[in-house]
Amino acid sequence: MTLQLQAPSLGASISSFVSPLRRSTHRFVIRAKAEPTDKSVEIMRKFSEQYARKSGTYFCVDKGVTSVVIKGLADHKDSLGAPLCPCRHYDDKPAEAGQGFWNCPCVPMRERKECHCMLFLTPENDFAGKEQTISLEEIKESTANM
Amino acid sequence: MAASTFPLRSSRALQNPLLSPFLSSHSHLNPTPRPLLSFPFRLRPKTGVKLPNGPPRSFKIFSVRESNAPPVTRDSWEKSVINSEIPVLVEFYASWCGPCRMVHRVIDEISVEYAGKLNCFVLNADIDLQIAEDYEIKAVPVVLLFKNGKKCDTVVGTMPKEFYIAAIERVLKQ
Repeated sequence: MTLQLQAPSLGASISSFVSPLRRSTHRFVIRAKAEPTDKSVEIMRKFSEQYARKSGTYFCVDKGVTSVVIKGLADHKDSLGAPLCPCRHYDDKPAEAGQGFWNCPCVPMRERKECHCMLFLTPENDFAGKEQTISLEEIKESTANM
Repeated sequence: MAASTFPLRSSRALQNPLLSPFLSSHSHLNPTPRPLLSFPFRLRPKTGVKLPNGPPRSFKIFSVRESNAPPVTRDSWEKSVINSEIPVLVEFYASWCGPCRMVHRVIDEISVEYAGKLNCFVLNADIDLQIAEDYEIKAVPVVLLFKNGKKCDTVVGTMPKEFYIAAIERVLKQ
C-alpha cells in the first residue's frame, strides 16, 4: 500500500494537537465496520503487550476497552497500512497515517505516556488494571457481540 | 443507589478521574469531594463470573455493546439538534474507540434520568464526517451540549458521570 504524504511537515502542531494537514478533497467513503484480519489483531496484540511492558504501563481494568482499541488499531493497519489511533477523528485518514503523529504509539504517548484511548495507562491512573497481557481469546470474547 | 445501576466493584476508580489538560477542557472543575458515584467502570469480575446480585446476562457482552441512545445523522441533525425545543447532548464516537463505550454507558443512564429535559444522541464521526468537521472534532469520545441550537459546552475524553451531570446542570440553568 502506498501512502500519500500530503503535509509538508509536522511543524509545531504538538501543542495544539491540531493536525497540520489541510482539508483535502473529502473522501466520503463509508466503510462498513468490517472485522480486522486475525493476523493484524495478533500483531497489534503482541505490540500492545510489549509496549505496555516497555513503557511500564497497564491495560484498563475493563479489558473490553483494551480489546476494542487493539481491534481498531488492527483495522487501521489493514486499511491504511499503519496503526492509526482509533480514538481520534481525522479529516483524511491516509494522510494522517502517512504523517505518523497519531500512529500507535503516538507522540503524546511516547513523550508523556498519554494515551487517551486508554490502551496504555500509568499505574497511578485510576482506570489502570494490573495486567500487561491480553490473550487473543480475551479479545475475541469481549468483542464477540459488537 | 438506584436499582438500575450496575453492580459496582469499585467506585474508587472514579474519585480521581482521568484528568489531564490534554483530555479535558474542564479539569479546573474537579475534584468535587467524594461524590456519589454510580458509573460502573468495573464491569467484569477479576476472576469467575459470580457477583452478588449480578444480572444474569453476560458482562463481557455488556462491556462492549453499542449505545442505547438514538443515533443522529446529518439528515436528522437540523431537526433533532438545532431545532430542538429542549437542550441536546450529542456524544461523538468512532467505531473502534474503546473508551467511547464507557461513555456510552454513562450517556445511556443520563438519557433516562433526564428524559423530557434533555435529548441525548450519539453520532458516529466515521460516518458523519461533515458534522464532525463542522464542530472541529479531533479526539473522541467527546460530548457536546446544545441549547437553542448553539453549542454551549464540550466535555472531551472519558469522564465520570458526575462530570457530565455538572455540565448538563450548568446548561439547564443558563
